[in-house]
Amino acid sequence: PLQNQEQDIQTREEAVQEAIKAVHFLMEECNLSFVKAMQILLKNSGDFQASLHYLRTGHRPDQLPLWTHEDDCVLLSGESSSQDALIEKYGEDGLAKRIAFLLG
Amino acid sequence: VSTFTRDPPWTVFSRSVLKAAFCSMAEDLQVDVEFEQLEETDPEP
Repeated sequence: PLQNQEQDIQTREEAVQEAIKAVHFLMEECNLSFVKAMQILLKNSGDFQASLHYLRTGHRPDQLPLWTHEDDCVLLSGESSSQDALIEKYGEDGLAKRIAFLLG
Repeated sequence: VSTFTRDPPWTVFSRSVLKAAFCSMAEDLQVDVEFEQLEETDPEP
């Protein structure tokens, strides 16, 4: 168990280092500030490829909009009536990915 | 010689990994912004 824990910590640290490289790449490739690069990743549910595509073309590969803070609040409220509107806007897959991202 | 270069292979980062990356980079770059502030605002189009 201790070995597994150490492995998890190492894996996580490697993921953080890769994320740092990814943010640097976006900053340099798209001439962005650190804050803007990080924000684009957050609003794309951590999806690097979708973020890069959005920055290059102005839209995501799936043509869905970026997540907004207002919609995150609606999502986290758990109101089932509001979820339908979010599914219509982001699709079921987009909603599932957003939930996984916010909980991850 | 081809100058074609592939994009990096990164796919999806979790929120907690991005938050840890943000904290590390914000310290290095001496940026005085909270992670939650980024979440609570939307980028300008």
